[in-house]
Amino acid sequence: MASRRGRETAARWIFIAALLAALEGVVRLDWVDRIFVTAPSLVAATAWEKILSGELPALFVTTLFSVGAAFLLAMVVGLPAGYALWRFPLFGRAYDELLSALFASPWILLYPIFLVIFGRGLGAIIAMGFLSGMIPIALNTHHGLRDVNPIYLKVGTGMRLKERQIVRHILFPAAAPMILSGLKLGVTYILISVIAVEFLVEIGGIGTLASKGYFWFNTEELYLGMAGAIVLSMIFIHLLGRAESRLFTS
Amino acid sequence: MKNGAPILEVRNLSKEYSDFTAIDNVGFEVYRHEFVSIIGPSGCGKSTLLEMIAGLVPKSSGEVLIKGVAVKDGHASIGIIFQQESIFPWRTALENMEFGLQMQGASKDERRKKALEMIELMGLGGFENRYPDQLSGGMKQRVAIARALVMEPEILLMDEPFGALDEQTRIILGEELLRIRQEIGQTILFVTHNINEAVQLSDRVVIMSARPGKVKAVIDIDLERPRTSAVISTEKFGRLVGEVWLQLREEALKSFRQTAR
Amino acid sequence: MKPLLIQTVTVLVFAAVWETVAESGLLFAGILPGIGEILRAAWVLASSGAIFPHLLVTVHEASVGFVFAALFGIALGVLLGTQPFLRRVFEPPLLYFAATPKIILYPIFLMLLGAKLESKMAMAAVSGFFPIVVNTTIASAGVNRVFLKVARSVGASRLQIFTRVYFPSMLLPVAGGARLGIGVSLVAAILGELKVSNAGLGFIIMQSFNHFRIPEMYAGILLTFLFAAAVNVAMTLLLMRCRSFAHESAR
Repeated sequence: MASRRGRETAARWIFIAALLAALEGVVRLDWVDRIFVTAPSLVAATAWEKILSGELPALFVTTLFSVGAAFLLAMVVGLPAGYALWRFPLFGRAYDELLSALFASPWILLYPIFLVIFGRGLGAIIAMGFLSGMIPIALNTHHGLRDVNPIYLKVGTGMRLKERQIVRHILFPAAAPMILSGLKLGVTYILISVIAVEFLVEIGGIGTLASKGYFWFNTEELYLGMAGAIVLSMIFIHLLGRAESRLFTS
Repeated sequence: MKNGAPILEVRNLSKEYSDFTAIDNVGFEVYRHEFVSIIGPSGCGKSTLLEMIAGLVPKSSGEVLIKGVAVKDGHASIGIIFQQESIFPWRTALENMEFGLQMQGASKDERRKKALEMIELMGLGGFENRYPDQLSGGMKQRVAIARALVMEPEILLMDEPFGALDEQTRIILGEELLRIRQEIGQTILFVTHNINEAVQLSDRVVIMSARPGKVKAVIDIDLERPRTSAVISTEKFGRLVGEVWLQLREEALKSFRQTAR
Repeated sequence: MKPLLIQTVTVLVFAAVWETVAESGLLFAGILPGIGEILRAAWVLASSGAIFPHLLVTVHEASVGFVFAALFGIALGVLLGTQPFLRRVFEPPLLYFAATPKIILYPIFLMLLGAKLESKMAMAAVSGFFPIVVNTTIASAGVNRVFLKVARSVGASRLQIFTRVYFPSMLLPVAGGARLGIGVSLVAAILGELKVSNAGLGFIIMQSFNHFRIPEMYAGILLTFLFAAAVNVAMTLLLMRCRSFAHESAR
């Protein structure tokens, strides 16, 4: 019979399907106002239409472009910054605290400033995403390098390796899991802030669809936008998790 | 067992920290093919002593000589094995064994060949391509030993290598270690706090005092060679264990009082 | 000592660069006010008392939302943590959902609850719920099995096991989740205000943005950050009190 895991997965999907079916039924039976809630089938129909017209793919491409650009910038700055924090421990301690404080603060609320400085466009979104992704990448890179089990480095010293060899063949491979989880954290935060800003100020991407749908009383578009944003985030997180486990179990 | 000139000579070695002396004027020799254990109460600085010999910890005074030549920051012909798990989790067992040779710039074929020989010697066949998290604690320590032996060190320093293992695995690995030593004639300096282990494995046991660590006595273990773990059941084994404990008892009590505070 | 010096110098250099750029008027003319100007605007907002009704609104929204988040989060967390099957079925989707931008759900609350306080409360509740449920699940599942065995072996009742083992073991991690949750609730309420509102800290920021009163916008953001930091510090202190309480209640 089905394995335990299989049963759990089945239970999960049955639950989700039941929720969707209940929603569908409630709307079809006219128990709720169709301005507020719409049926999953109608959202799916709208989605199909917008896929064929190319509108939905274009929105996804815009969002992914913003996320990709912000991620690239965040890596280009965050990785060397994390390395520098490790290389110069005194500065490392000082700036680690500053960055952590910044990370714990509600930086998403800074977006009006970014709008003012970068204008109402993709520039502001990418800058916002960069800020939110760069900090966890730099912090994790620093922590990964700093917290490498000293026994691994001792093995290298015991073999009288050159410092360069120890850094390249021991330090970095040992810190890699932590650095990669920093990248994963970075992408997650970038995605959240990109979609949030898209929604808040209606510039480009899947977040805008939800906002516009709301303001024009187009309930199907609103729900499509929401579902699109949530599904996109989930796919991202899923793929990142898969990539991580692929890299570290063999 | 003492063949010719010693491989390792430790002369008047001391280690002082700002507020206490860890090692006080320690001296002994290890000869070719010899298996010497250092045993002492916890906190007597046995690990510090070993790491000083390996050049991992700077010495305050004294000398370490390898084949009669003083070495400062350790020597290429010293291999060391730690108690903690030290094999790299991002490399397979085989890749771990190739590590040192790779760092020395050996060709891929050469290092693969030597690592495979070591797999054979260590009885690790079938586990070559496993990653450390798929190996048991005993297997991991075998890989660590193999990684050091591939480099063909003149002397292998072992710092409580089986300390984190259960008693049965420890005895089996000890027996394995003796077999390997017999096959390749490896010289070994072994640190432990386990009296049975020291007697089971060694030709000589160096007993250290409580802090500050000094050499208190050296006991010859004249059990037959080659040995298996069955030696544990002999009367002579029991008598030697008793002899070591007699020397150690007072020191262990002293150390116990030092740390009780 | 030394890191503190570096931090101070860094903040001062940042301020000096900001001031120079703002004073020169070359880059970002009109959109980057000087620090003096921002502080003056902040002082006006605070000393005139104009900000306090808005602060109160935001606090009201965030705290009502947080109470709902805590009630549902802890209830569901204990259920998932003590029922392994439910945990394995529902924890993965919960974790996935926790990492999505919740603000996207805001239109639903706007439609159902209107543009006033209630929609922000809902935002605060939904956002604050996730850190609390995740921490509570882990905490209740992670109660040391040996402690439970010990309690059972001395014949403790279910109630005693809950109050003497579960409660003290879970208090700290759950309080940690609540600390995160209250911060997230606060930010969610303000984000809601930034989008659609007629009162609150977010409303002040957005209004000055829309009317291009730029120094006032920076001042509003500055005060909001200071308030969030104060809440964070207060929660951290409370958490430390919790720690000693957890140890005492175990007796």
